Amino acid sequence: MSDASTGSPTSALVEELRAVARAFSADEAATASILETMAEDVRRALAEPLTIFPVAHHSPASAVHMVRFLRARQPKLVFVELCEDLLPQVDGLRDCTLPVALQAFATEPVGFPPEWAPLAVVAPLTELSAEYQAIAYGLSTEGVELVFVDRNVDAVFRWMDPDGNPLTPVPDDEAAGDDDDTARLHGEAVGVEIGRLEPTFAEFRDVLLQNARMSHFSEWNALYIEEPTIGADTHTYREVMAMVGSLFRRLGSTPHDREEIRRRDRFMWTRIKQTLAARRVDPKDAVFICGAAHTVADECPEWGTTNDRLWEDAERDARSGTTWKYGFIPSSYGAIELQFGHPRGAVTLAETLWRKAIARWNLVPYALEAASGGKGTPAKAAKTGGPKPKAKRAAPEPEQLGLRAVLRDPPPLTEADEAELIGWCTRIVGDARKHRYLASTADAIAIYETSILLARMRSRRRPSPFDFIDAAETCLEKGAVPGRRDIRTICHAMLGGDRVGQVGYASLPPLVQDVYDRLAPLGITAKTTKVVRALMDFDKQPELRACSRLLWRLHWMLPDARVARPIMGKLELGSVPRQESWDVRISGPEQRAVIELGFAGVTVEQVLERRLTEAAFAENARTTAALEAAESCLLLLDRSRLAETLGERAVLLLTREHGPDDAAEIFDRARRLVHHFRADPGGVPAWLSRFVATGYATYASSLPAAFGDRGTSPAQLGAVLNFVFTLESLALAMGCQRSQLVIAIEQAAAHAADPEKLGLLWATQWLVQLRDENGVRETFAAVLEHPLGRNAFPRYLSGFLRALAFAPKAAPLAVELLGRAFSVLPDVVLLPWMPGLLTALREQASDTLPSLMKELARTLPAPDGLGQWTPPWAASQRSDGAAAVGVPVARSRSGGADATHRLLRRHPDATTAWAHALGHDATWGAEQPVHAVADDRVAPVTSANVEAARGLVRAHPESALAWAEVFAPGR
Amino acid sequence: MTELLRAPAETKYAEELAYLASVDDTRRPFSWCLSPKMVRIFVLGSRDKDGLDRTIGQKWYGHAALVEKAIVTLASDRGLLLIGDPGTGKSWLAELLAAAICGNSTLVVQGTAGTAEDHIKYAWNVAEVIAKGQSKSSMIPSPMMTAMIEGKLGRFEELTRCTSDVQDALISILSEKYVAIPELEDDNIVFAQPGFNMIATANSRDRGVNELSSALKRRFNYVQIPIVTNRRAEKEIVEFRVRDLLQRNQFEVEIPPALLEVLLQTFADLRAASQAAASDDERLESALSTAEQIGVVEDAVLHGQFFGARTVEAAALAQALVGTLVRRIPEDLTVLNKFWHAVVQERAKEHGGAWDGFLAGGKQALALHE
Repeated sequence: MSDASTGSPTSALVEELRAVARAFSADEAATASILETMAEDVRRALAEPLTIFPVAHHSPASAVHMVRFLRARQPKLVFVELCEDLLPQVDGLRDCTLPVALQAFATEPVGFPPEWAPLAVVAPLTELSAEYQAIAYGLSTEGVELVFVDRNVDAVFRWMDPDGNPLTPVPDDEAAGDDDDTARLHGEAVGVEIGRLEPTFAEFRDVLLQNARMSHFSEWNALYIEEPTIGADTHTYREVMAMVGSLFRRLGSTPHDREEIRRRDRFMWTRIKQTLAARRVDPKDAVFICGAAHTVADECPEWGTTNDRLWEDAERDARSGTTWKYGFIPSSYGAIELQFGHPRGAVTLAETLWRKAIARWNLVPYALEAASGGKGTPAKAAKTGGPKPKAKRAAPEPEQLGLRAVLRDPPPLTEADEAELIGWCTRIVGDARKHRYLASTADAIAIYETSILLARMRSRRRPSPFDFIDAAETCLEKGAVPGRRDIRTICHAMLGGDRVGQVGYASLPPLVQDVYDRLAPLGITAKTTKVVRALMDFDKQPELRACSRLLWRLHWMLPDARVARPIMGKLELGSVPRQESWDVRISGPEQRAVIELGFAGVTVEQVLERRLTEAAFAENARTTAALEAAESCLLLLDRSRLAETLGERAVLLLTREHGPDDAAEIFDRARRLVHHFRADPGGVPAWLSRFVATGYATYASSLPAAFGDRGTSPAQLGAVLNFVFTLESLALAMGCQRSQLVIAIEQAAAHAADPEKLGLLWATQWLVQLRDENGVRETFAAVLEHPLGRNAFPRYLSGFLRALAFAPKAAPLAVELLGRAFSVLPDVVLLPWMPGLLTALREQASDTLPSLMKELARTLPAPDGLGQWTPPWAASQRSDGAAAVGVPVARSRSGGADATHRLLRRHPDATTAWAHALGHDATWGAEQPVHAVADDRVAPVTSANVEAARGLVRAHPESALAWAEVFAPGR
Repeated sequence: MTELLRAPAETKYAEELAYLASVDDTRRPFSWCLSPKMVRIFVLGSRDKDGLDRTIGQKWYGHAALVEKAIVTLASDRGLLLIGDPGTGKSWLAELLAAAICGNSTLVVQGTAGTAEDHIKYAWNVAEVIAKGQSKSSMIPSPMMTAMIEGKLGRFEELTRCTSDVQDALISILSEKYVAIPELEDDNIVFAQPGFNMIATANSRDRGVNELSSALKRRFNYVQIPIVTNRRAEKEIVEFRVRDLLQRNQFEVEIPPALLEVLLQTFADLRAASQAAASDDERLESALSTAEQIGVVEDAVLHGQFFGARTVEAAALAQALVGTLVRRIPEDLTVLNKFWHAVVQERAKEHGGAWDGFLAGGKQALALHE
């Protein structure tokens, strides 16, 4: 184009556009008008004294031309279409490994719908972002100032439709896969990026893709924008981008988007003019890097530097009152694709094109180097004057093609394309084999051939990466994926794969820096990107205990983030581990999680304390949450004052408990805490004693309702009773009265109707001596004998078994009742009961099973004696007749009673003396065989020791008098 | 031409094919009737930018990339295996491709559990063998062998319904491109002519029943045909097929767009419910494909024509839907009953109009089943 350098489109171009309108449109005049308007947009954009440099996000062509332009023109002032309040952060880029995202974060939004919280804005940057090249140029070149001119992040939300969902990305044809953690790096943040070159008007985009016979917009973009412009000259590139921007803004945008672009134009041009005036810089020495849609002049009165109009509107500088925090988070190609609705692998393919282009033109991209060495990064001297180009000389800029040539002709082929395709074909076959595909050299040939055929069918002179991936998928994918990755994923990995960035030490919030500092003994720094397996032996390295405590805190606050994953070791009250093993990873998604902690406080402990307090004092907090917070505080922070505050909150919440829903968890935690503090020299703290007393009183008084309420399950009732009986001693010491419990149980008897609850009630009555053992036995026998009650016997028994958790003395009777059930009940009753019984026992493994198993082991014979074995209760029945339902005394002895019995037989003197003193004969009966002890050790009764016993009684008559009273006739 | 109940694609679209051949000036592979680009236009329809002076209608709806993959596979050394759920248009695509590429889509072997190697290669005319002995004249070539001899596309429907030994008979055909006839002493090899290739279809629900051997798998390129879930595309397909049906039956009936929306929405809801179901008993046996929607409309149209007021009514559509989708009793009936009262009822309450009749018709049909 001869007059390209003047920036005005030729009349030939306009004529050609008119010819296009004539050929393709029924309404020639209207189409011609639109096309001519677009040509005029291009003319005005390129005629503006301030160089407008239209770019598209993550576009290799944009980045290549940006590098070329900046190296050639060296502008003094660089305006970038990014939120103005993000600018102070960019210096931190020096320390980061790309891709990373500039982030603004607000946990407590003011003036926005509460469901939008937390608000987050991210602006991801990759090496192949034109904006990154501009930033790197601005930061690394002396005498150059970088200015972000777009509205602030607050306005991103203020200008949104309050009824709309701020989290919905612009729709695209096929969203990227979100099955990968790295793809979720941006979380729910709203993405802002420079140069969104994409039609948002769905019908327009569909027509565009249908006519091009493409599935993805990025494919269209690659074929019609990237390929023609990446090898063109920079002027032509700007012309093409301006034209596409004009097309998409005028036809491809929804009215809402157009209005937003217009408002942003007004804002940006006002800022640009204000800055130019303040710095006294000639517009010709500046560049404005913006999305292609911002090149349209006629919708914005402030557009251009040739007028001095400014946007004077209260909205321009308005603020919502939200406090924003700024920083970096790691990003990844997958996250960018997911956030902005690109198909999977689009950014990877863009990077492939970018690398190819910079190699072809010998360009040296701008890059930032670390300014100073933080603790987590090796120090490097900061450079000024920009990175020096490498020894190789940059290739000369291609000849000017002009817009007409780009619109008319396909891009020229390069020699490297053929070899590159062959390389891809052979490598993909190898990679597919590694992923268990049956792929061979024949497949490589087939892929090559198919790629060529696909490219021809799609009117391309050479296969694009899209063609290659489609070909590989066609030739290698056989219905089922044999390994973890499908061919498409393998292709993307081969063409570059996903990249995950890392935020450098100096750019991190103080909390994260502190974390890195404290984990330094484990060799974890801001540069560490892999999982670190930390093996800690505290005997050898006691200094690692501090690391361990920090890791437990991180693990508690970020349980799902895999930042710190314990492999070996437990955090328990009172336990002091000697060794621990951890998997620690603070990179990628994990680093982002820790960075977000950094927005909440200055140290991990501060954030943890706040979170514990928030959990306990939340408006709808329950007792369990407060008690858990108190326990976590003791475990993780060891701050008794905070634990006391949280504990007192738990006491308060417990008084407001309306039912036994959380009784099991409350009991578990309370018991654990009581046991811990009983072994502690400081004793049980006051708040915990109050908690137990409150719990005893609350739960005891709720028993009648709980027994009668059908909404309260037997398991919940069991948990309530467990609390009451297990922690009773402490509660009584705090002034509670057992009579409260006894009265409640008496009242409950009137309400209980459910068989399982009744079983539990009988056991409870036995414990508070409202019923004796024989009474319980007889009640169960009555149920078993009743023809209508027999089928429900398992349910009664299940309830009784629940009592074993707090009444181990019921174990012998439980075994007896189980024995009776299995001997008497028919299979049709037993078999359906068995799964439920086993499941219930399994749930109570720690409470019920030990006493039950111990009693079973004591009662049941060895397997070889099973044939001749008669259950003790059956034997008793035979000997005592049908009326007797009891079992021999020896049989009914619990473990403790048995031990006492043995002790007395071993040392009978005291007992014999007591007997003589009370006027009885001291005759020791024969021991039952099952409890036989070594009687040879029993001392014989002699006159000497009888005399000694008498002396003892005379000296201490009080006990003897008490015994006498006990044995007094008529009592 | 004698009127046919269902003419093959090359007959039905003979005029379009002849036109495309006449304007096709690009290179054609082997003995193809059309170049790959023109085949694509034939299947997917023309666009303004194709520069044709007449419009070619779209005949198969789905991702253009799938069609492109299928076409280039047929131009390569490998066979094409179209795999997908029932009713996704695999056979229709195969027929269109065969019609466009070689002008003959009838060289078809239907795979069944009873398909034998003879059906794939050749059989003998027993009477002639007894009379004259074994010779080429007494041999009955299979459609596949005919395709080899004529350099055309052979189609193999439901490949995975055949047993493995029968499937493996295809290996030499696809690999060596010839069939040996050991019964003959001379001239006992039939070589494939340029242009021969094979389009097979397989039902993804048959996966694992007769799995293809690794040797056969690598001689096929697989193209997965997904169920169409895009509402607009689905609407286009249903409209296209229903138009075809009405034309065939010479009916003049208008299907109200609101009614079509009801049908599409119901299928979308059913798919969502099916996806959320926890067990097979809680989801319909049907694949809920576009073909089934077409079947439902077809039933409703026929019912309206022969027993109704010659229009398509919401109640008839609902009855047709229930009739089409209830295959297992009581499982499918239970699922539909629950769906009807939970989803359709809500939609009727929300939107009214055609939904009311649809709701009532469905309930009536379900009651009849019960």
